[in-house]
Amino acid sequence: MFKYILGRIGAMLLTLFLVMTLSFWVIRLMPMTIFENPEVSPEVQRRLEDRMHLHEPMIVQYYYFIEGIVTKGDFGTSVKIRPGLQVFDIIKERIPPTMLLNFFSLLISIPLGILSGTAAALKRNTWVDNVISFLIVIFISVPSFVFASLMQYVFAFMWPVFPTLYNAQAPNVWAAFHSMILPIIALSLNPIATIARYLRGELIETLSSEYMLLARTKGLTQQEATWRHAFRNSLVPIANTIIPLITGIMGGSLVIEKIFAVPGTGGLLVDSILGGDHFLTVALLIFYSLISLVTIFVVDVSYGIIDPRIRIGGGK
Amino acid sequence: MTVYDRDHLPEELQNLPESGFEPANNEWNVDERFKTEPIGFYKDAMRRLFHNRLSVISLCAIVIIIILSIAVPNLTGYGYTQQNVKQKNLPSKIPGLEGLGIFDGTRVLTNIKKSSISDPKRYPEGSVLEVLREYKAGRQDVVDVKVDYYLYCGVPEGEYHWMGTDYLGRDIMTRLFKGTRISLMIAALSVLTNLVIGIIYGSIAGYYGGRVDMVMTHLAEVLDGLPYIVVTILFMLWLGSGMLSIILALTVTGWIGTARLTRAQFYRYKHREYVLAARTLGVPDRKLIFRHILPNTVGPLITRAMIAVPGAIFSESFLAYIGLGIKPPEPSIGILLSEGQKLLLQYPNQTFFPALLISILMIAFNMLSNGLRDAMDPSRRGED
Amino acid sequence: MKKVFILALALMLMVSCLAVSATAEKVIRTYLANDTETLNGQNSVQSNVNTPATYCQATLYRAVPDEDGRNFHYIGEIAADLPQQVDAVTWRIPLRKEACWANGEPINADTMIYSYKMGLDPVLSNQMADFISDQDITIKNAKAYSLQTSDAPVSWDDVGIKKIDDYTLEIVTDGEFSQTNVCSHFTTRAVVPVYEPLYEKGMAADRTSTTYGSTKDMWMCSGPYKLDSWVFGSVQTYVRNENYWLPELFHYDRVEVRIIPEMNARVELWEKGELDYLAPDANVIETYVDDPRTVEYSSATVYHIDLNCKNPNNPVCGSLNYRKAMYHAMNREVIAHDLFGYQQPSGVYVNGQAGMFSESGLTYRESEQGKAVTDMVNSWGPYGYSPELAREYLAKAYEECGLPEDTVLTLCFAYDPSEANWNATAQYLQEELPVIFEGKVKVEFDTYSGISTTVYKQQHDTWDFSPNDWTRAASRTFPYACFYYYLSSYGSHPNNYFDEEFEAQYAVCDSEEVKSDYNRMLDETKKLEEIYLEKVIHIPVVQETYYEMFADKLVLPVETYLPGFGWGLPFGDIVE
Repeated sequence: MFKYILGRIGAMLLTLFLVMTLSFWVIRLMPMTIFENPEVSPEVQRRLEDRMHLHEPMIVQYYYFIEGIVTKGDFGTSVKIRPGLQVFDIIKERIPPTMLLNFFSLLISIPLGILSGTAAALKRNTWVDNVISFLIVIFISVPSFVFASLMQYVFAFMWPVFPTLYNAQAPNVWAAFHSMILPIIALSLNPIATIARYLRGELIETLSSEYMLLARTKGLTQQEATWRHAFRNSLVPIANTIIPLITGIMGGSLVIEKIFAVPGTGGLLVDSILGGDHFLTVALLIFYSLISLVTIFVVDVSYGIIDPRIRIGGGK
Repeated sequence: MTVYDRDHLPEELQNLPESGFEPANNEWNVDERFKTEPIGFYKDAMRRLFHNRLSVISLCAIVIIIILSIAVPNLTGYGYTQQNVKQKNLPSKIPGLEGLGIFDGTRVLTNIKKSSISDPKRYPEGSVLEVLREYKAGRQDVVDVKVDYYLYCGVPEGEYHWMGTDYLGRDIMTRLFKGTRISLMIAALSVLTNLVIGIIYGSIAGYYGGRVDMVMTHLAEVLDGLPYIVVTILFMLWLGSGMLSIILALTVTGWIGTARLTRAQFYRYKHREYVLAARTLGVPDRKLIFRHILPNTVGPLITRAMIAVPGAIFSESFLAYIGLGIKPPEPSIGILLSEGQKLLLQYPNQTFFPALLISILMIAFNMLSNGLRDAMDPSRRGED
Repeated sequence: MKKVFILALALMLMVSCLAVSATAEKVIRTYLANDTETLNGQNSVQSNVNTPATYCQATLYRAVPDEDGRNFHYIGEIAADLPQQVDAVTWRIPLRKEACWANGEPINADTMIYSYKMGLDPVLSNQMADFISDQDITIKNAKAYSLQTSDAPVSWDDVGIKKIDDYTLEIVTDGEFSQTNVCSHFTTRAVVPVYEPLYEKGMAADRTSTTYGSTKDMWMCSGPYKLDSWVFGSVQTYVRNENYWLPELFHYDRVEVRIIPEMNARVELWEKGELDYLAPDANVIETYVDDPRTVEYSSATVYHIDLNCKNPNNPVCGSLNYRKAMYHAMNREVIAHDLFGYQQPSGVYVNGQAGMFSESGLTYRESEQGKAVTDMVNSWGPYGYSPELAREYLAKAYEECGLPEDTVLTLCFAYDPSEANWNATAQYLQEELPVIFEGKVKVEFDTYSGISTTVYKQQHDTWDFSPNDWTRAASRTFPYACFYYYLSSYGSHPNNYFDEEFEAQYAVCDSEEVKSDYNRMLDETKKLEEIYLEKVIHIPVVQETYYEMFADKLVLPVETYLPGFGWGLPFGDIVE
């Protein structure tokens, strides 16, 4: 087990390094606006460029970049979004809203997804199933930014039960959460539908399998059999969807944050890409990779503990 | 029970006449003929697919949308880049339905200065259909009016835009179906590329196993660890906007799932007796892979590909929203949706129709993939 | 379970009621599309920095509305009185003894000298340095100081900003200026005082940059309000600054500036009454153009299209006839009205605000000279649009460059697609130009994002058209100043087309002799604009019309829009 975890950590670090390298080379080779002011004298321009090592060959810059991160945790300085500030400090401030948003979204999508998926499977071909299946397809097919805008219009404007925008200065926890409900729901629709669809398929298959018949034959009621055998068995593969789910939620929050003006990392990433703040973009990409790598690691390791057969590299 | 000895047969059995015997009618002994024609796996699968009503409907829907996406842009009478900036943001107006009070090309304008509606330059004769409300705001007379927006924009009588027009006065229906064509093309090409790369990679890893598998699987693992959004964005930044870059960006990590699936199938089948037999007969590796093992994975792969098609359309619209889509003036469903989202409050029709179409496409592809999965399930062979 | 739920619901209701009852104070709620990248007004070209600067920083002078709301005038804010002229080029500015920072520390001549020295510092190279050295007045040697190099150093002692005593400043200008010019020069965000301890604290070791103004804690307020909270990307709030010395001018208790990137959200909040201000953009102007609350005015921006004369892929790009063809091919009425949304077409470059600070109070465009140029443009076609002339000039260009008549020219329109108006215009021209030139011209796009148009042009040479809206040089006093960026002497010119005659005429306009004679200056500006049109330095397209809406409960201090002052939103009051 220990060796397995160690292997996973190794793979994780390797991936992270790969992300760092890739994002550095891809992004830093693109044109960048450092001087908004065209009247900067050549001397000052040279000085600034020297400080950012912009005159060195790319490979040397790459060395400085890796060295800065590894030895000092220095990801560079923002040049556009908040010029002069350490990129790390900018991101640090932005993490809590994003994390809350993503966490709550994950928190409600798993149970809701399971609930609706189960309901649809158990009531197969009834109106319950039809309604749920219809909603699933709508939620999966219409992009979240359309839903977000629509929900903002319906639940914050036509029928104002929620605030239109995220409230960064809420006087209390409830007010803060209240203003986050719409973005959380908008972000969760797609994951809920994904889980529900997956679970519905799995359950329907299990319910018609032979061991269910056996369970019934040995005297279990339909409910007991469903709960003990079908449901539990179907839940195991759900874990497979968790990793894509998390990365999906993180991707969705890029868009949702902008619409609801949530001061999180998602909106920052979009702004920094479109604003050409390359140091910030690189750091954010690394941050996003780190989050998804850690999630994968946690899911993998807990799985490795639960079900040793899943371990990768564990003999063929 | 008496046991008779050949030499001690009882009297009555000893002199039986030869002619009393005839060969037994051995019809029962012949292999029973198949009652049905022998058919192959795929034919069987297709047969079962076409017996599933939902699958047939979905398939029809997809085919119809594909046909529409080819035909409609040529039938509306408008080019997909043809503009008329005087007639921009028109609401939808459909012949036949206008009398019903929906899709009649009208729009309610609120908070309008009363003085402006009497200005024939802004509001041509007859364009104001109905004054809904008249009130005072401060010192000014203000009205809410229902306007014939086609007349308001000076569209000649008898000209229709079924889904309205966009910010440059381009016909949305033409653009939507042209965009569907482009989106489907992006989806199909990216899925196809994913399949080809994934199958080759997965087959090699799965067939050879051992060290080769170890290295290849770990490499895929590392790539898979890169978050999908990050990689896609990086690729789009690197290659610039355009159809090809989107396809490539969707391919970077997209093939890994296919490879994994193929590899698993290989592990399942490569030790089967028939493969062993073929190998003993000296069939080369290449032939073993492609003739004997790979066909087993086709079913799951097709199912997967079907689900991936709407997924690719979805990703494309996400990229369009954050400003990394295909180059204007080419439309795609994603571009139309993200353009429509900006105007959602003012002109909801510009979002509604693309959203409707993408939903129908998604439903159809999902249903079809479910149907295909059932049809290609080997354990259900012969079932009707 | 049910009980708990009901209890929780009751609690929520109570909390929300409390929240409502607490808002009896006068709060103005406005918005910005993007957050201010830094609060340091010396070092940001983004106009959204104006909002925190206006509310939270004092400057030497402030424009305030007249009693009757018909006009505005300048009063000393940090200055104790209006500037006193010593001789033709020397002004004395007395400072208030009571002026202080929000923390109570005094603001005196040393503070101001430090602020301007840092603002002009050649090593820091603040982006708004030219707003200190050369805006409404030109301060002696200031530009030379900020642009100095190590082989030609300029001493701070030579710069025309001097301390006479602790509460008196002396400004020496290049050339003669009016008292109004001196006042208006010292009202912008670039000339606010900076707080030395924090400015130095944020200074990088090599003194090339400072983080002053990057966070709330790294900024010191001195204005009527102080920054209460700043959640980057979400909201800025200002509350009254108790140490401010002119509190009676301002009426709000609190200012809330929300950061709202999405227009949909802004419109919803406005309709719900949660915003007191809205500026409709091209997408929503159709909804609000006839709304009685909507007010409009001409801004200092003329949107224009730069032409590249050094595109290796374009055989006629160097031809003047080609430039003229493109000038006449722009259907400005359609672009302004339908694509930019109810804006004003413009075939000339000097904007509608230029020159309004003259003695006559007339803008250049309203003057005889300006009208003559407009009439000339209109004689070619509406706002210079004339397909016949365009075709004629293109044919001449082909002839001049020895191209066969049926050559098809492929022109590259380079733009940032996130700018919706230009996105529409680019696509419009792609359809329209082939029609105008009967198929002899095709338009392709090169889209870029993340870099400014200036940077794009520095790195690429294969573009033909590039939209531009840079108006920093637009002066309300000297109408010719907007051409400044198109001189070869300007460091990072947005264009690569230079003309000797044009530059010579600009020098004439900019000479002391001409500047001091207003009528002569207008005449020379007319000549300059004629040369500009003759040589097609670039293509003017749209004079921006700005639309704004204010909530009914807001009482503005002025009756109509006052150019150079606006609606005086900071001086407004709230009446429920």
